[in-house]
Amino acid sequence: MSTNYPAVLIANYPSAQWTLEGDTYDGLTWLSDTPKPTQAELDAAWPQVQYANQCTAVEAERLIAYEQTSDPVFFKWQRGDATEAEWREAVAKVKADNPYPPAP
Amino acid sequence: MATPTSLPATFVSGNVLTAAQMNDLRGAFRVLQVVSTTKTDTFSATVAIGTTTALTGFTVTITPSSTSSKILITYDALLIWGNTNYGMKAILTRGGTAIAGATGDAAGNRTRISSLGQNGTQSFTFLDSPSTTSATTYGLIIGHTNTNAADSNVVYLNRYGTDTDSAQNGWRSASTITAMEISA
Repeated sequence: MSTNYPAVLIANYPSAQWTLEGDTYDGLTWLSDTPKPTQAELDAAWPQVQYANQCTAVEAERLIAYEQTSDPVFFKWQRGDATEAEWREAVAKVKADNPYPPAP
Repeated sequence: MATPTSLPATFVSGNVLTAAQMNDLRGAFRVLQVVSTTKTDTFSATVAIGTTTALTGFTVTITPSSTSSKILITYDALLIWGNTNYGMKAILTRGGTAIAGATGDAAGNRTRISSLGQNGTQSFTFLDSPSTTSATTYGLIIGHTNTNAADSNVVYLNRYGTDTDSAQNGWRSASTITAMEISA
């Protein structure tokens, strides 16, 4: 997959100023005083950045799913209307339904 | 405004036009030329809080045939800020400088802009009077309304921030800026 240069720059060069016309490294104009990263450096960083972004997305999906499915079971358990095992099962299902991607 | 529908359906040899018909003809050709740029690739840039940046590759150049001509400018630009809940500002420029008449009135420290939107297509139309017969370039400078220094402050054209490579969540769009010369 081609490198998402803005994503890499945001993650690894958060203070840098730049513009990117198009999607390729050729369109990158470096506005900061710091050295412009090479294409090889950015391409090499992309898998880890992509993984981190995907993990963040999974965590966001899990938060939604927890609120909709396992949290109600948790409060039922607190009231004595469900068991701890049922709550843990619901949590496990959220995790199973929203797995983390394989690490690069 | 003259209406060309009052002209004869066809002209034949020997026809002599009345003044009214000649005015109709003049009115029919008030749009003297149209030039347009459609940007189909993407643009991304860091924009520090309170600043703007030129939207490179999204300009249109027109050379008026008369100093009395008006230039009708329209743009439709899909502008995205990398995070949610903040607005994207756009300011119409001529020769790289904001056109004051194409922005809101000055009001204290408020930024004068042409259009504002939250992660979507912005449309704007302006009738300019450049009073020149030199090539004139129109474009946009863009910024955002975020004030949180912790945010990335990256703005985009024609793509979303995450830019997921999937048919369901990923997309690319096109944006267009058009200039029309209108005779006086």
